[in-house]
Amino acid sequence: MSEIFERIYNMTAISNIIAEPQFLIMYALAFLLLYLGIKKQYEPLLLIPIAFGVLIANFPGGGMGVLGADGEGLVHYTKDGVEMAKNVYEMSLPEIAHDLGIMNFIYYALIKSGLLPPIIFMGVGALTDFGPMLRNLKLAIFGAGAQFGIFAVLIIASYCGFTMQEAGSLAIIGGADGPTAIFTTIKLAPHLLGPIAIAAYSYMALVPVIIPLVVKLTCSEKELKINMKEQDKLYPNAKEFKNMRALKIIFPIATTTVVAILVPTAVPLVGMLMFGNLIKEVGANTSRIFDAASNAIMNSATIFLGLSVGATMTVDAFLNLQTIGIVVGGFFAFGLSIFGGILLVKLFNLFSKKKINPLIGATGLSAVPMASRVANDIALKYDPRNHVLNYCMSSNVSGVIGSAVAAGILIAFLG
Amino acid sequence: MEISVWTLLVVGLGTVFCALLLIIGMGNLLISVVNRFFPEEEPKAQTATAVAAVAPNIKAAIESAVNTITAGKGKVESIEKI
Repeated sequence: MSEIFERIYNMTAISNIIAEPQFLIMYALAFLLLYLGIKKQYEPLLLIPIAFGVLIANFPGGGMGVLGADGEGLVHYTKDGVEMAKNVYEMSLPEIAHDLGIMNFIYYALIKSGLLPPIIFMGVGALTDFGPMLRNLKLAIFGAGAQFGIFAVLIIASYCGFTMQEAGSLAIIGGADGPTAIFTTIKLAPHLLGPIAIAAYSYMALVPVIIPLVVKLTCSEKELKINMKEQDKLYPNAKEFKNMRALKIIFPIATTTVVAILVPTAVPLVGMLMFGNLIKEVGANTSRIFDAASNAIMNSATIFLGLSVGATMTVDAFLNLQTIGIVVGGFFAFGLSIFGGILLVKLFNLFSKKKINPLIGATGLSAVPMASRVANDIALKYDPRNHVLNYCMSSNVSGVIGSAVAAGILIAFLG
Repeated sequence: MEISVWTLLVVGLGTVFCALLLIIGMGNLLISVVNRFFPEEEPKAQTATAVAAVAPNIKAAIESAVNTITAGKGKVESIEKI
C-alpha cells in the first residue's frame, strides 16, 4: 500500500518541487505576469501567453519546458530513465516532438527557425498606417535618434562581461519592439531568448510609466508646451497631397527596396512589415489576405510565440545573474532610447526656427501606438489644446523601421 | 576582423540615420511624382445628382456593401445602370 502511495507521490510534481523549491519563484513570476496582463491589462495579448508558458514549463515531469541547446547544439534530456545528449539540429521534427515534447517542437519549428517574428511583423504592417508619417516626413528622422539606447547599452553590456552577441541581444530591447528583439536574439544569443523577450515585452507594457519618467527628467515645461499646430501655422508645410492612396501603395514597395539595398539583413523584418502594409493599402482586391494577415495568422503566431517564449523560462535558464543583468540593462536601453530621441529634438531646436515638441523625439520608440498616446496625454496635461498624436505617430512608425534596421546591423556584424 | 563596440556605435547609428534619411528623401520624391503624374481626379459635378437619382434603399445597400468590402475606405461616387 505504501508503495502505491510512494509511486503516486513520485508521479506528482510535489516531490520535485520540494527537492527544488526554486520552482516556486517561477510560479510567483508567472502569477505576477498573469496579474499584470489580466488585471492591469499590460500588453495582455502577449503577456498572458508568455506568463502561461512560464507556468506550464515549470512543472517537473510536464515536459513543456523548452530545452536550450548548448554551444555545440546538444540538448540534454532523460528518456526512459536514461540520460541522453543529442544534436538538436540533426533531429527531425517528429523526433523532437516525441523525445522533447510538443513545446520543443513548436519552439524549434517556429521560433528557433526565425519564422514567427517576421510573420508577426507582417501583421503589424497590416495594422499600421503610414499616413501620419508621410504627412510629417521630416519628423521621421527622430525615429533614428531613439535607437541610441541600443548602441549605448551594447557598449555598456560588453564591458559588463556579456559576449558581443549577448550584448547585442540585450541592447536590442532598447528598440522597444518585441518581434525585433526575439528575431535578433534567435540569431545572436538564443540561450537568452526567454529573459530578453520577457524584459522587452514588460518594458513595452511599462511605456506609460517609463516615457513620463524620462520626459520629466530631461524636458522643461516650456519645451513640453511647444504647440505643433501653431508651429505649423507659423512655418507651414509646403507639401500638398493630391493622391494619398497611390502614395500609400507605392511607399511600402519603395521603402522595402531602399532598406533591402542598404541593410539586407533587415529584410525579413522590414520586408514583411511592408508587405503587410501593402496588402492593407491596396484595398478591396487584397482584402482577404489582409484580413488573414491582420487577424488569423497574426493571432495564431502571437499565441505560439507567447507560449513558447514563456516556456524557455525554465528554472535553469532564468534564475541566474545574467537574467538580472538583462532586466537592468534592458531598462537602461529603453530609457536611453527615449532620451536619445529627446536629445535629437533638442539639438534640432537649437538650429531651427520651427520648434519641435521633444515628446516627438521620445516616441521614436517602436511601441506603436502606445508611445504616441502616452506622449499625447503628457502634452495635453501641459496645454489642453496641444494634440501631438499625429506628429508623434510619424516618429513612432519610423522607429519601427529604425529598430528593424538596427537589428539588421547587429545581425550583420555580430551574427 | 573583430569590430569594436565603439565602431559599431558609429556604424550602427550612422546606418540607421542614413536609412531613415533615404526613406524621407524617397518619400518626398514620391510625393512630387504622385502629385505630378497621378493626381486623384476631382469628383464630377454631376455625381451628386447621379447618386441621388437612385432609389434610397438601393443606394444605401450599395454604399453598405462598398463600405464592408473596402473596410470603410471606399466611397460611392456614382451609380449608373449599364
